This record gives sequence, C-alpha cells and structure tokens, in this order.
Amino acid sequence: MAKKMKRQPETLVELMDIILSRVCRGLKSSRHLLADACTEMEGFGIDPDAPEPEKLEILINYVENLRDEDGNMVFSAVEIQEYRTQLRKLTRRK
Amino acid sequence: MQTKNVIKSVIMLGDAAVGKTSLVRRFVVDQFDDTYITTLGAKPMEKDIRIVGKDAIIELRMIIWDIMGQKDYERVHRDMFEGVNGGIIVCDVTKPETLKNLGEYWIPTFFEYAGKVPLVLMANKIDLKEQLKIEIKDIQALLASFQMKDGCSPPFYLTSAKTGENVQVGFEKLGELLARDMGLL
Ligand SMILES: Nc1nc2c(ncn2[C@@H]2O[C@H](COP(=O)(O)OP(=O)(O)OP(=O)(O)O)[C@@H](O)[C@H]2O)c(=O)[nH]1
Ligand SMILES: [Mg+2]
Repeated sequence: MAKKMKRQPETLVELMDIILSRVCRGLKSSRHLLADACTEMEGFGIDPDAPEPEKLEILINYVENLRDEDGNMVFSAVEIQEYRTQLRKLTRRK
Repeated sequence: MQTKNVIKSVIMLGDAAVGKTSLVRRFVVDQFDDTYITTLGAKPMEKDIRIVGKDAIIELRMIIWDIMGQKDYERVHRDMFEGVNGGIIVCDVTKPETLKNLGEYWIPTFFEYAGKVPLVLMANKIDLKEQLKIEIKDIQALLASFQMKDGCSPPFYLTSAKTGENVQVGFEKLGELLARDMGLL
C-alpha cells in the first residue's frame, strides 16, 4: 500500500480534479479526442461544485476506456482501481 | 506581400458561468445559446484570423482552450496554463465578485504558470444593462495592477456573447498582441 502516491484526495471535488486533469494531460496532443471526451463528460450532468458519487462512478467508468490517438489507454488499470477505492472511501466517510 | 502561418494557443480564464464558452462559440461559429452547460476539463477549439504585419500577412491559427471555471479545480487550471501563449480573461458585469476573482486568483495564477503573456479582458454580458454592477473604473483599477511582459496593462472590452458586441474585436486584439509579441508588427 505504502508505495508511490502523491497526496490522496480529501474531497470528491479533489478526486474529480485529479481525474479531469489526467484526461486533459493524456489527450492534450489529440485535440479532437479531448474535445469529444469533454463533450461526452458534460453529458453526465455532474455538478462540479458537489459531484454526486453515482455520477463520479459513471465518469470513472467512462475514462477507464479512453484511448489516445495511437490507441493506447489513457489510464492504467491501477489508476482506475485507485480512483474507485478513493471514491468508496470518500463516500463512506460522509 | 508574403504570407506567414503561425499557430498560437490561447486560453479562456474566469469564474464559472461568466460566459467563456459562449464567447468562444460566438467567435468560432457565430452562435449563442441561453442554456448553461458547465464545461468539464478543457475543451480545445480553433479559429484562423488574418493580421496585416509589417512585412507579411500573418495567418494566425488560434487554438482556444476553453476551461472549466469552478474554483478548486486547480490541477486542471494549472496543467492547462502551462505553455499557452495568451489569454482572454472574462468577468460578468452583473457579478462584481467575478472581477475581484480575476485579480485574486486567475491573473496571478496564470502569470505564474504561463509567464506574463498577452491578455485581453472581456467584461461580458453587457447586454444586461439594467443589471450592470461593475463600473469601468473598477476594471481599469484592477488591470492597472497587472503588467504583461511588454510593460502594458491588458486592454479590455465590454462584450456580449449574446449580441456579439465586441467579441470579434476582442479576440482580434489578442491576435494583434500575439503578433507583436513575436515581433511581427
Ligand atoms: N445575457 C447574456 N447571457 C450570457 C452571455 N454570455 C453567456 N451568457 C449565459 O451565461 C450562462 C453561462 O455561460 P457559459 O458560456 O456556459 O459560461 P462559462 O464561463 O463557460 O461557464 P463554465 O464552463 O461553467 O466555467 C449561459 O446561460 C449563457 O447563455 C451574454 O453575453 N449575455
Ligand atoms: Mg464553459
């Protein structure tokens, strides 16, 4: 458990900030893919000021399958697993 | 006169709901929509403009990064600030706190990550005349405390994404500042 890790998110907003910034960085060089992904994510109707856990789950499911221009996955399975764990933790604590 | 092709990245800065997406939409596709769909992450769009330089026509392709305005999304903001060449800073003339936040958060953070690159302020929603709550002198006072690398304070325009007023002009001004920054004007 103790291996890597930057700071763990303390709120759902922070978790969403981490995920979205990773999407942006991962697709920054494939602009049309990033624009499409953003439009898609907007459609989930998440409130960025108070993300609903169910909707964050939808967001994580979506980014799990994102691929860049070369067909590589944007997120690793480990990252996705981590987001799910964090989401669970943050939701339980409430 | 020869033609010179240049590509520059610019970014939209300002609080949620001030009209960043609407301004980009007006500029790029000349449309406006009353419904508010909050932007998530950062959405790139592009538009070509033409500027007459001192010894060439400059065909400038602007990659416009339309980012989410919510506070607390600092990772998204900072990641996107890095490496951009200029910005449009936006406030809503019916909400004084959106001007204040430009001075307290957006401009200083942007300058920290992007450098003191060209900026243009758009005081937006000027069509809502009866709800106006910001005065020109407030805008001037705020801008006076920030200098771009050319030593000047950013210029500003009173805009409306709804009617289109000053939108094109404002983006073209940014194009001109970028061209000047490259020594082409
Ligand atoms: N009357 C009027 N309404 C505007 C104007 N510009 C934008 N709006 C409205 O203001 C709301 C927010 O506009 P957006 O362009 O989505 O705001 P934004 O800055 O992109 O917001 P975020 O993406 O959440 O950061 C929408 O309902 C727009 O229709 C304007 O010039 N006049
Ligand atoms: Mg927007």
